[in-house]
Amino acid sequence: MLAQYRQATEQHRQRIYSFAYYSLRAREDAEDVTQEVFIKLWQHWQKIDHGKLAAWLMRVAHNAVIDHVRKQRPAQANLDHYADVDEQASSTDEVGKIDQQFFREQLQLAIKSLDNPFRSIIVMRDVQGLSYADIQESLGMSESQVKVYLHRGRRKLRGNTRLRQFFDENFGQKSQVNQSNSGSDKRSATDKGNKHA
Amino acid sequence: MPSTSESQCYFVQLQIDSYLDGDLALTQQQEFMSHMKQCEACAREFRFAQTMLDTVMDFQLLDCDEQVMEPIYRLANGGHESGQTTQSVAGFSWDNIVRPFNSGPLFLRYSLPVAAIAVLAIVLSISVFTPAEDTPVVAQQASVAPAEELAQLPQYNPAEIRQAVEDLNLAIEYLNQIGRRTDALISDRYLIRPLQDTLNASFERAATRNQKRTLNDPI
Repeated sequence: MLAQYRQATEQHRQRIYSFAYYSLRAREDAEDVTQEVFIKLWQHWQKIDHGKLAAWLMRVAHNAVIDHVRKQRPAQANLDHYADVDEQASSTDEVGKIDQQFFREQLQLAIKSLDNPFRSIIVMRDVQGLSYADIQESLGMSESQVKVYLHRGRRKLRGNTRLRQFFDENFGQKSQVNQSNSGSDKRSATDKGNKHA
Repeated sequence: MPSTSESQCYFVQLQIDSYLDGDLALTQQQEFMSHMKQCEACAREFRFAQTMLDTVMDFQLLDCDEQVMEPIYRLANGGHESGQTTQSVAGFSWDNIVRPFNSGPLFLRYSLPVAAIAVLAIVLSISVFTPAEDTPVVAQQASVAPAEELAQLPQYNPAEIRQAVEDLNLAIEYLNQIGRRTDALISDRYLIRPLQDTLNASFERAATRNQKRTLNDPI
């Protein structure tokens, strides 16, 4: 049992930590959530359906993130503003690298500022690439509900004035309309929309 | 703004996410892109959405340090939920005590808790079922109290008791008469007479029979 438990933690740790990190935008909080999730996994190991372990873990992580957001003091909200910029900057071009880093960072903060379930769904779907089936299992919603929340969440992000202003000043005139629907193309490149699979 | 109307822009912009997710049909995609080529505002909005989604999807998946998981593995190794079992206080460690039981044979793991529960149950049963020393005094008090209370009650002579019994019989008779009179069968239906009428009739008849009895009527 212990070996199976360790294997499960190794398999899902990255997913849980990433979800917590992009939801909370603070490394320590994300670590707390990760610990909390895996302690609960150990406590409920005998009871849970191991066929749906990933969804169960995401649901526990989602609830833990909500608890952390409630507890979080406003003063702590932006402490981790400039953390992890270096580790995020691996895939950017040399030209406009700093701008892209800044845009990425602002986008992370904007995601963090979203209410639930918009935030969780955007992190699960767009950041982590989970399938709609996994998300609806995790959050107990139908696929159509998940899509509605996803699109509304994205529109909320696009309504962020700082992001839009920064985009207009730096990227708006440079890029051309790309006829490929980039989201679906990228997802089809991964294994059925799951970065972790 | 080109020739397209605002409402058309509105509906096209609502489709941006569906287009990015590949949820639009081919004809819808063609209409969508033809609008984008005509309308600069929608094209800018689309570029914004596309850039944002690309950026979000490029977020790296992160992993926490191994140290984060270390306490959880220790917790799992200990087989306890509280996590305090792994802490040693002044050389005392709970793990050292429970480890022989956890590693021992199955009957040894369960025999000691079962024995402890059995001893506890015996002690509890003895303390509950053994009468206390002051129990006889309480019993004596309980046996004495009714006699004292009876002594304080008013005493009745035989004539008063007989009168009370007669009143009681009269009351029973009233009730029987009421029971007979309330049910009057008319054709196939029962007619229920008003209770007060029945009572009044009973009182009148009793009054004519014995004036004194009506004074002591218990009803």
